[in-house]
Amino acid sequence: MSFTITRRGLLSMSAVAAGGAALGLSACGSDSDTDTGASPSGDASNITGQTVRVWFMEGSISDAAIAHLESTFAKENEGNTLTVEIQPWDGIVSKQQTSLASKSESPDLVETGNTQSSIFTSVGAFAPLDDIYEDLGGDDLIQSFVDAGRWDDKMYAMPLYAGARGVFYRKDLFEAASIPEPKTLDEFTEAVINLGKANPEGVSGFSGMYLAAVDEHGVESLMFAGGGNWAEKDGDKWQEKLTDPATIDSLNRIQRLFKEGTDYALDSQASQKAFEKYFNEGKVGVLVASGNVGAKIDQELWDADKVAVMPIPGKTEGEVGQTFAGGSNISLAANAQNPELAKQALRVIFGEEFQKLMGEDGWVPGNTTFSDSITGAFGEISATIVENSKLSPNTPQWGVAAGNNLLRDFFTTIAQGKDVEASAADYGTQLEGILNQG
Amino acid sequence: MSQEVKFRRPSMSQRLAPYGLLAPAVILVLVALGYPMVRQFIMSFQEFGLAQQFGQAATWVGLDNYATIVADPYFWTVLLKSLVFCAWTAGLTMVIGIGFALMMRSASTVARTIMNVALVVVWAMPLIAALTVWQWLVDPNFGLVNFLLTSLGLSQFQGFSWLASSFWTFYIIASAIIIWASMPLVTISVYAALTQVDEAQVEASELDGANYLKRLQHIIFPVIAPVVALMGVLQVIWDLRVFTHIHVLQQSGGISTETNLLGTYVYQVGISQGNYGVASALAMVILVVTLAITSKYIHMLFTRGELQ
Repeated sequence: MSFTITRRGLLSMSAVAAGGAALGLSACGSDSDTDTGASPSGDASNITGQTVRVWFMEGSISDAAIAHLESTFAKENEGNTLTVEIQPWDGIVSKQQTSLASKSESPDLVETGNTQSSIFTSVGAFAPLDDIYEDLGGDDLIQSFVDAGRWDDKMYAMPLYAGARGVFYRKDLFEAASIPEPKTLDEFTEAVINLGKANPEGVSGFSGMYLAAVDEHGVESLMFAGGGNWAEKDGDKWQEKLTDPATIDSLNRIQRLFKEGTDYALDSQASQKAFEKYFNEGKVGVLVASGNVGAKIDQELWDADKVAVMPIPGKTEGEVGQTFAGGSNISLAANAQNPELAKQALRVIFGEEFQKLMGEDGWVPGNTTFSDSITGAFGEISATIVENSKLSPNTPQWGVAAGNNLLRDFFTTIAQGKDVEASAADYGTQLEGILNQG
Repeated sequence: MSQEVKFRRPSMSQRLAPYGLLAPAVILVLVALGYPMVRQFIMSFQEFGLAQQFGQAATWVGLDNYATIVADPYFWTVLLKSLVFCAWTAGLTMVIGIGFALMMRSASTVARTIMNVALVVVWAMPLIAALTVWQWLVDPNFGLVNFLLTSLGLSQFQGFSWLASSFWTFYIIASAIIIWASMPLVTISVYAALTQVDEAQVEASELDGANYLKRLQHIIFPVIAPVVALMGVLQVIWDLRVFTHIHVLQQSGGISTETNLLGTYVYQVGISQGNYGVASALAMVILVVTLAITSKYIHMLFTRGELQ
């Protein structure tokens, strides 16, 4: 809540009390806050001794890219520094709600997951970036993310990167078990189950694929690929689609995978965060994962040509399954201490070098001009996947549903083996209720 | 012996001294507890959401927030679960804690020292660290608990998820962790009280033929009763508003709407949904419930203090 006192808050309070110097600093920060009319570069040039704080999410931006951002910023803005603070995904919305609302604690730039951005764009937590939109890439930016980052015709959240999901699989195991590459989602399900039964390398506790209810975006991608959906807007009301026959059909397939295709349906959150270890240890043969996971798969497996990638198949042959368009946006906090310098930092982030470094990590960079920088096997299919990806409902209320663990809870019921139709009806009603509030 | 005692009117500084000495404590309590309480009380009558958090004016809604809560059947489910969970957890903590204290009283010095050290270590363990270790213990695939159970031939525990399978197993684990963590305080406090029992009296009763249970009932228990009552009240209060344990375990897996207790429910409504108004009202309701449950005990504690 707004009166939460954190250690940082106490420290900064005592720092303010300790001396006039600190008071001078914060006054300087709020001065530049009001100066939005002037040209950004002109303003930033006479600011010194400031630190721009950037919040990136855990596992999103590589150390190399962060180092590039920090050094380039320091070079271009002499006398000022930029520090990156890495935030964990767990409970991030709550943390942002309190820190972004604080005039003294707010970071300057903040990454938000694209399903969470609208929670903040809709309440005035971010400052508009329309004045530098063209400089940062304009129409070359991923347009579906740009649309999601707008609120009331103002641009609040710039596309940082997209990371749609595909399938990583052990092609040597598929060959050993004489299972052909699946062309449809039903074939995929059969292949996974048969692979688990065949266990070509005789690994104890082997199962066909890794699939866990706590990996909500992974399960969601399979749900989308099978024609399922959460909800659709009908006029000005949201209508849940969980009870739609297409979604039920998709969920039945997922329940079968949970039951027969994997031992990890109810895996813990902590284990799921490092789920590539199961793949590296040979305990599973298939992963549904975003492109950056490719870099976490043992180089030995790549070198021995044992790993292949493919988009999640669709319902019919030749069709690419729709997946969840994962990814992040980056925004300027309304309470930023150094908005002008932060805009300079944004220029570095949307510069060629930084965009390419994100591509090398397997992400689709926010500026699509640089998407050919995606390296590795996943790079070849990532454009196809992103084209076929879709967002979850774009409303601040979606963040409420996700914050309530509604999606994860729902997939857990499917993984527990509860009746799909009954569970879909139950959670569909809850979802509709939340989406149509406020 | 009539004599006139002449009181000199105390000087101003002397009269103010007691207030001066009281001031730091009073101010601290007012700032740390009073302000949030008042703010919470006010917010419980407002529509206060995320937009208000970022600066918009809040609107007054009277008793609407309270009406919303009372009309929501989910609130009553959570309240009932919390009460049962609290009774079970606090009750077991007390039984095990007192049992340990009695055992320590009878144990040899060496054994007693070892137990004392073990209890203090448990008590001093940071909560998040302890919860992390517990999550490892009950991990579906790598956990020691499942390993031991499957080693005993119970193959149904292969890959069994204690936290995500059903809310019953979730509550068993949560309650075990809370009992484990809060038992040391009960044991050490009750053991301290037990050292006040007059050994001569115990010996005399033994000679008169009183068996262990009789001695416990008539000699030992009356001495430790005030400490037991105080510990009991504290356990009830803590277990009713338990938050961290449940919240951390919920992040690990499972269906949070099924595993919510009052503490996590308020957090979900307030922080996750950004509905601070209803969450404040909910917190006020919990405060009233806690006071209602513990009022009798608190009253008893106060009056006992005066009588002795």
